[in-house]
Amino acid sequence: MEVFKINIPNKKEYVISARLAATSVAGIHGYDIEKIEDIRLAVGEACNNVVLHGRGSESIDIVIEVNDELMKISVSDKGRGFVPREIQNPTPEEYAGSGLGLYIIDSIMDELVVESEEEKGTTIRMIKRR
Amino acid sequence: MAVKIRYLFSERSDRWEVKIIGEVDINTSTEVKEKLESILEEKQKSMIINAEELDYIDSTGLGMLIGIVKKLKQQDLELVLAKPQDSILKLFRITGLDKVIRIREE
Repeated sequence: MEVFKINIPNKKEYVISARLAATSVAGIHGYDIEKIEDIRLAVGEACNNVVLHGRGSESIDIVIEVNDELMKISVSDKGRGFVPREIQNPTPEEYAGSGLGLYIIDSIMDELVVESEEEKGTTIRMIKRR
Repeated sequence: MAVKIRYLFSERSDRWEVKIIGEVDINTSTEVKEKLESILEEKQKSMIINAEELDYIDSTGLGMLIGIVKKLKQQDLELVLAKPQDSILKLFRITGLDKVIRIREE
């Protein structure tokens, strides 16, 4: 697997950098446009989750591993962590809340796992198959 | 990428015609929200957003649009999203937002 890593400041202004990096890697590896759009959105939402909820983390680590079959992406912070809930489709009244981003990732990626430990941080792991 | 908003009030259709160009994300959604709210403060009318040059919207942008829809519905007004790109239409369908905001594909 080829591995691509970047580290960005935990600031909303830098989320676009992570999105662009992920779309670039997907493009290099020949993913079609629809899947590249899915990867762009999923990485953006995962980074949003850190910016909005990863209190205490100075930066965000994005690791992309890719081969001919799939792309594995992890987005990690060293914030305070949280207790993950079951991912559900929020109602429109809840769209301003925190559940929508993870619901979107779960809908457009082939696999999603959220690992979080209090005071140690959170890692969002996603897989997109070719 | 920054976001640009162009707008005018159409006397003929009696609604705001707004075009959002670029990306509505965690970094720009507050700016877009404030602009749309200021437009509605000027004149409380329905709004159509031309989304053909809206390249990207995320959950923060969707939340912002829901806020605008709620304000309009209180006045019995509506928000219409026109000509969204395929990726954005897909996102609206995934989230069920296509049932809250009227989509005009052409």
